[in-house]
Amino acid sequence: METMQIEIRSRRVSPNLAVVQVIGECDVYTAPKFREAVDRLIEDGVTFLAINLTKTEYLDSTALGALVRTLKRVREREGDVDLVNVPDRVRRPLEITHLIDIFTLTNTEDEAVADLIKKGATEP
Amino acid sequence: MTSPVPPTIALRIPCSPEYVSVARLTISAVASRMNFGIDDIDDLKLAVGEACANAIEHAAEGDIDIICTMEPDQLVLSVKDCGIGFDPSAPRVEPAEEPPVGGLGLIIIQALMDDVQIHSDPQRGTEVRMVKRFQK
Repeated sequence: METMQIEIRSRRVSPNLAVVQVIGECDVYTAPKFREAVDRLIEDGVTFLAINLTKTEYLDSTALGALVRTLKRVREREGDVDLVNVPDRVRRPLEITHLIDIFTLTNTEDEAVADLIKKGATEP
Repeated sequence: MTSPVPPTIALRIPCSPEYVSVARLTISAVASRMNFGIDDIDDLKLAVGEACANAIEHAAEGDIDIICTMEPDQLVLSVKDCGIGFDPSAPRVEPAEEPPVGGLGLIIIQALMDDVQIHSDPQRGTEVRMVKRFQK
């Protein structure tokens, strides 16, 4: 079956800061694609990530695991992850698992970029 | 007079991640047919997706059987694999400084469904039986 229900778009803002857009469904099948994309950014020096969930249709526990793993990896490198514009449809699993408490939430990408620069990301 | 047998819809998918979305779509259609609200449909899709993901994690091969029983006041879902089983009392989430990476699926299912029963047997696999009632 060749239906890939996810698209990951990334935009480098500065040497250690990137914005990642998760479009579609992030689940047990597609989460590895998200993980690979983020791992590539981290290997390339990114330690601050704004993950935009505006167009995320679905988030399951595997996707939550991938988000938490990303957070752990960048925090090990003194970085951080902000979640941008978390829609109600994907907020539920984050709330149930209390994982929403460990991320900074912002309304826009610009807000996240400003917050991450305050936390130590280099400016564009 | 005996009550009529509730309509049942059965789906069998391969125990592989790419088919979980098929199960979610099916549950969405069944719940919509029963006139569940959008929030409840989202809950059902997530719960079934988690049960299937759990089956894939513990079974690795074979099929997953999903049975939807459309009772007058509730939807009963059974997700069954033929894997090695697991201890359903084991996973717990702690809002800790060191966040967990796995083991969240059953916590999500239990939070979303009105009733959840898990039967796990090393010889016969695992069945997650979930009930979603109509909100009054």
